[in-house]
Amino acid sequence: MAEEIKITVTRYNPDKEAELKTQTFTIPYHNDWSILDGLNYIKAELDGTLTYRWSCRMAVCGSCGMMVNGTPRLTCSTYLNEFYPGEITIEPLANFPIIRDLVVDLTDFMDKLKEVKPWIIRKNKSDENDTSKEYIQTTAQMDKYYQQTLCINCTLCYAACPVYGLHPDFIGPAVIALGYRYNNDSRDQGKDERRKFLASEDGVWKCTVVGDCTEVCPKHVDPSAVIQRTKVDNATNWFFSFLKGKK
Amino acid sequence: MKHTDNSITEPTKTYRRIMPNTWWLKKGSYTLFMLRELSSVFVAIYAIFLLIRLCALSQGAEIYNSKTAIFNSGWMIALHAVMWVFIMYHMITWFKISGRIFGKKPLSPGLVTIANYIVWVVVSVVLFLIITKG
Amino acid sequence: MDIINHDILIVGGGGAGLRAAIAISQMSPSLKTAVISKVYPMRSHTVAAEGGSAAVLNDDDTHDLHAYDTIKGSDYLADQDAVEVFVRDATNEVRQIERWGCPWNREEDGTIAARWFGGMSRKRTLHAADKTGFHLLHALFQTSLKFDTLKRYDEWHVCALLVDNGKVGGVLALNTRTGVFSILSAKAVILCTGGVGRMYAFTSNAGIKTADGAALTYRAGGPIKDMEFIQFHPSGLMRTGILITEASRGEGGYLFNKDGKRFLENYAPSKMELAPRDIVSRSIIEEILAGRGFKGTYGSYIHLDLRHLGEAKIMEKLPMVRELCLDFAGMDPVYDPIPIRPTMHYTMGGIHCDKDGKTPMPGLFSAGEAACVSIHGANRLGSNSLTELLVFGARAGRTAVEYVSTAKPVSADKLQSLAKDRMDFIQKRYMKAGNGKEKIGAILSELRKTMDEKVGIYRTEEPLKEAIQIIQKLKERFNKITLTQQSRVFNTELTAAMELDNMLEIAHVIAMCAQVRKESRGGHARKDYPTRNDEQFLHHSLTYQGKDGPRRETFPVTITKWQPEERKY
Repeated sequence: MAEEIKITVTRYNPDKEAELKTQTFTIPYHNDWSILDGLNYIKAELDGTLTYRWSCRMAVCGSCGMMVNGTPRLTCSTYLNEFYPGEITIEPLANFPIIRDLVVDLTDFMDKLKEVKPWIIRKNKSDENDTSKEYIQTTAQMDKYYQQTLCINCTLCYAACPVYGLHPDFIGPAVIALGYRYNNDSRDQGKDERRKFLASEDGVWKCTVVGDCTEVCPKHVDPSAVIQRTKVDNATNWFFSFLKGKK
Repeated sequence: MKHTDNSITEPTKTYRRIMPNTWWLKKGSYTLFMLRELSSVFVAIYAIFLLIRLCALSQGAEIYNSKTAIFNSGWMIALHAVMWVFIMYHMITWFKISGRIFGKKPLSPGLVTIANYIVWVVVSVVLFLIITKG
Repeated sequence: MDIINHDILIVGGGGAGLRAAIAISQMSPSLKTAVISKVYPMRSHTVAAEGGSAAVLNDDDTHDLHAYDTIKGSDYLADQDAVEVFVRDATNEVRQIERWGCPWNREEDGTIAARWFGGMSRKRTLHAADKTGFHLLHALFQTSLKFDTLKRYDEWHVCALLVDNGKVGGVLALNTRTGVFSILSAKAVILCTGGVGRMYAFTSNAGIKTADGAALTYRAGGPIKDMEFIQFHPSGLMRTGILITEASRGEGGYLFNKDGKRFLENYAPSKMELAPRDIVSRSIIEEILAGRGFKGTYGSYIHLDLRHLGEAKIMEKLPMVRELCLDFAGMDPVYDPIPIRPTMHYTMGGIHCDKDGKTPMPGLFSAGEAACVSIHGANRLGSNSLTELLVFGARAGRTAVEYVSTAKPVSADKLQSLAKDRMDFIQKRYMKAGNGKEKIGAILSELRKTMDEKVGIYRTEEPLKEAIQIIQKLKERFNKITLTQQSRVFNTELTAAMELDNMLEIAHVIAMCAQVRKESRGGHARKDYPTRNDEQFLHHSLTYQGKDGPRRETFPVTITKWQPEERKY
């Protein structure tokens, strides 16, 4: 008999149920199948109602994050063979409200993403659309923010962050990292405009340095470190404005 | 104004999961985090003890000896041993984190953390020398 | 049914859609503009483009050279006036996106750096490592957030264009989250919905690339153009078809057959690995057919070897290639050659429009991979598509602004009645609780298998005819599908059914046009007609929905100053 593996998934249909349920499927085991391949098999062959998000299946669109045996992972690049012959439990990303089955509500994240003003801000507005020449930026200047450009908005870091789970108003790792990315881009002059949001009550100071955001990040954006750097930056900024008597 | 509009028709019910009070027992990294938070309690207690000793010291040797006699009791020494372990843990975690914060190019996280340890050792040795030689 | 009113509605939140949205928001912030996308915009497939974006920036390069390379690459099917506009606008657009934060790789002096790419006679492919599409899309999306007037409908699915007497007045759309259908009215609709990739089994394309825009236009009576021209990218990772960028050859990678020979010397001796994609892909297939491929669990393949580039260069210029190999093939290109074979990659054809994004239907515009301007003709050069979506996204946006300044909207009553017709159709076709036995998954696999086998890199008369018959049978089978999912919230089975319906419709067009075009040109290679036939086929194919299937017409190719010549590299 061919090898098989058991996948247990969270089910929730708001039209019918008030509580979450789980359902276990037995699927053929292939050494080179991702968990997403497994879910697609279930949807095509066993139960067309299973609901989840996916698209690129190459770990760059950020759609397919789920809790895999309790840890936030991209299911397209997590393989069955990591768990076989054990069982796999798939839940929707933690800390987000559930819309249906494995699909979570990202409205809160999307709103915060906009709040941090993730675009190049110039004192002279006409700079932003001057196409006669590019800004000069050396590779050394690019190194200061490049790592934080790699965020794919998969929100695994929010699912890993207990602070976000306890205080949903917390701006959260990816959005702060994005603010840091623009603040440290030599082409940007909008750091002061972003400070109000980043240093707000729900901003960087809510972070208690659990550090799991960095652990689960599939793109090595290291939000944990940049949140602490933003704290240092805000504290020094406050200190100097205090000295200058601005506050 | 909300930037996206998903609300023009009846909103759907979403299911909100509540984090249980024992959430920090569910994962090793969360538990270690809570232990680090707990360790700051011991850092605070030790600071208070230190202040008591300093106050007593300013009042002369005799009063210092009588007021700090309690620190020589067995349970106090045991408490200090526990505190030492937590304070060490506190220190190790923060040295590691400071490496991550300040370890940008051209430095590296490891380098910053090692520098922390070196400074710690040097300061400790200097203090030790001052106390024993002085 | 609810009606939400807009001036301009952009369908699709990828590179072209967002570039159009920004152009409109800048030009005319008072217009009610919205982007409707079936996924969050930063999930769009632009995100997966890797190698770069071509534009003339260097002193040793000229717009004419870029135009000539593009036209020769297109096997002379590109409209040359459009190409001239394209290469000229390209230079400004790549600087514009730099000003919006795209982290282009830099030269030592801090100016934008370029790399070599297939079919390009100069180093003109700008890049952000090998994640160019990702950076470009995120820069566009994040920049779009600064326009408060720009509204978004994320995770809404467009089901039909609402067309009154040939004039577009809006769309019927499903809010996936609530399962409720609404009318989004608009004086102008810009379709930026990407290509058709998912109708092929071995493809680099994401799950969302399901021929939506072409099908929406086709069903609404509009023409789609040059659908037979499908690009196969030479380097798809074995098993999945995931893209390994052409930049890996641009940076110096070699292709080897199992005899250890750089076989391209037999096919394109002057360009070798940097010949255009259609030629390299066919060469790989020739090698495999001649038994000079490696054999593996998932079929034959050849080797893409990067080892001589060294770890440092791979990490600097091709980090994503390494990531993809490690994650999806379990091998490391620093130490081992990459197993690859050609993968369906790009749709040269699409919604028939001009260089301003205008289609023949009043109120309908298009840009990006969904559109066919055509600057790619029969074969697109690598790194021209990211530039295309910037250039023509912006142009379509500006054209739409101009159009709506004088256009009259379709009346609400008319839209309601049009929407009701479409709703009845949708209810009947997809949502019936019937007792049909057919499943979406089974029909889709059969379609994908058929397209791979019979409408692939090489095509011949008989298999093409068979493909058309199979597709017609699949369409009949589709009539008997029953959805198991009958509840409203996030019904991905319903959206998958609509997507499959779109793909079946357009697959039929592709196979038919491929069968009619009895010549070999660019990405369309007929085994039975191996040469280009300018006398009979130097024209675009325009296809309309007819009573019994696609109805094909021809449309002239615009030639300005580059006369067709033999295409050799």
